[in-house]
Amino acid sequence: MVWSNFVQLPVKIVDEINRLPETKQSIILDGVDRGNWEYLNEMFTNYEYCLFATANYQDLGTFTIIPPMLDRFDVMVESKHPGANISYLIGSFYKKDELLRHEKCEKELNKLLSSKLPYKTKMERVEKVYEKFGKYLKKMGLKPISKEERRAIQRQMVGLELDLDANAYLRTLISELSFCYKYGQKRANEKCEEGCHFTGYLCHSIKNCISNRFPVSMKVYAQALAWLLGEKQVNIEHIKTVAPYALSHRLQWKEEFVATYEKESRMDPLPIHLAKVAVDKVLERYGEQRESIKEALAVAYSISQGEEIAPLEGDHPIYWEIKRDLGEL
Amino acid sequence: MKNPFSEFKDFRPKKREIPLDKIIASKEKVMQSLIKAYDKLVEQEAKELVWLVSYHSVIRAYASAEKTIKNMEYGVEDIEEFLFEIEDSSKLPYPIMGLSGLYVSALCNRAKEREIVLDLQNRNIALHLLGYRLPKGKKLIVYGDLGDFTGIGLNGGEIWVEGNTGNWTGAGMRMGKMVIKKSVGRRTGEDMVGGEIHVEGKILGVGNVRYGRIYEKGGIVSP
Repeated sequence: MVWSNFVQLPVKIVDEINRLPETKQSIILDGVDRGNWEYLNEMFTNYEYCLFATANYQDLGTFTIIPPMLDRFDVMVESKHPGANISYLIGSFYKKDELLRHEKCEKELNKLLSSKLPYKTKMERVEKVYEKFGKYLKKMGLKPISKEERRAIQRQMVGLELDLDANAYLRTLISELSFCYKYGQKRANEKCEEGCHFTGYLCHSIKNCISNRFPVSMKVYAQALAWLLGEKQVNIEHIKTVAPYALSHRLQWKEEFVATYEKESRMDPLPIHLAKVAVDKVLERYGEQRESIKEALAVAYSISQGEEIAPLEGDHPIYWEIKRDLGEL
Repeated sequence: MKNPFSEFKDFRPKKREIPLDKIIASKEKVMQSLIKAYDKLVEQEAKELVWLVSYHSVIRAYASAEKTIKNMEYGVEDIEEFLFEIEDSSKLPYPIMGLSGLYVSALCNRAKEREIVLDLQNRNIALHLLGYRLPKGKKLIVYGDLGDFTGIGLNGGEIWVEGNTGNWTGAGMRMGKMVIKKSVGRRTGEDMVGGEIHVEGKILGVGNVRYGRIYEKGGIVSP
């Protein structure tokens, strides 16, 4: 029954996902990826869905989260310890876990989800229960977002374009995380060649190639941040802020890279810290040649349109990626 | 398929300006104004078709040169740079050496610096009339050879030439001092009315000296 409710609900929370053995993790892959869930021979499609998962730091009872599963999460953040004073304050609340409980809504929701109603009808009614619960939250001084408001926010977010620097920087970052001069692209099973010319770039410090889900996550979350800040465009700062959280769980660093930075003083868990280091390094390199990179992309546009000019040359992988896309390599 | 670079369709790169670019740009600006003023002078004097050194033409041309550079801001290094431009005749259509020498003399006389050093060694130019009317308190040091009429009408300044000079060196000089480290040509000190000319090499011929002194290898040859 619990599984039935889980697959039907648009918002899902998997608590302690790394206590799920690797073999079981693949069961929820398709659902996480496309919103398609199968339960008792019935297919549920969550058109609007969101998956949250928590994971404890590695201990004896945890398993490794498989890379395909990790890649399906847009971002990874640390739910930090709030600090002694706030922790004390939280602990002092009487029955704190029951503050937001609304038994009537809970019962209604359970009844609805267990019913034999068609999924679409069921979801429309579930929405009504949400609204009722939303009113209860308002009475408590909270301001929940309605479905219409959520839709409006999504429309506004999608309308926020990346400015040219944000666009070019993101391409530069992706190029460092996917480029391999020798083998055409990064592959987890192939090792860097000894004495490679590109050892100064991130491609030399990672084992795997960044997935195509990364730019999707980046765009959505950078747009969300820009919307939240009331900006009219997504700029390079939004990209820089979001990138470590979209990268940290997707990258497999080489031991040398980890060893260089793991003992540094930091406020973040190691994967996020390493991702921040990487993002800053690429940003520094981008800053040194931002005009040139944008010009290379502009020249590439002209070449793609049939103009007979030479692509811009440069040392950074982005120039090589551009040349490859133009069929020059 | 959509062009993957379409967002950059209208991008035009900003020219990155570094401090050095600004310095170069300002130098270029100064040089352009020096060349423009010189062109103007040449245009005025080219009416004569063939510019010959005569008392009146020198006075007239110098007055024109002074007028064209009246409000210009430049330094000694700009004068030296201008001499490079003279050498590159593609930038200066009429490198008439007499006029060039007068023009450079006007620049030296009006320069803020008291001491002006010009290096003309291994250069393909023979400047005539350099040092014209160099005033008191100014010192012009030239490395390399100079042409005819060097230091004519010297007006109290000092000219040191680490090389040879041509004929009529120090002609009509009023006061001041000239030191030529090598040799000079004929009619040296012609019509000079004051000052001293020291030649450490050989003097091919001394002109009609009214007043003033001429020395050759430390020994006086005139009067």
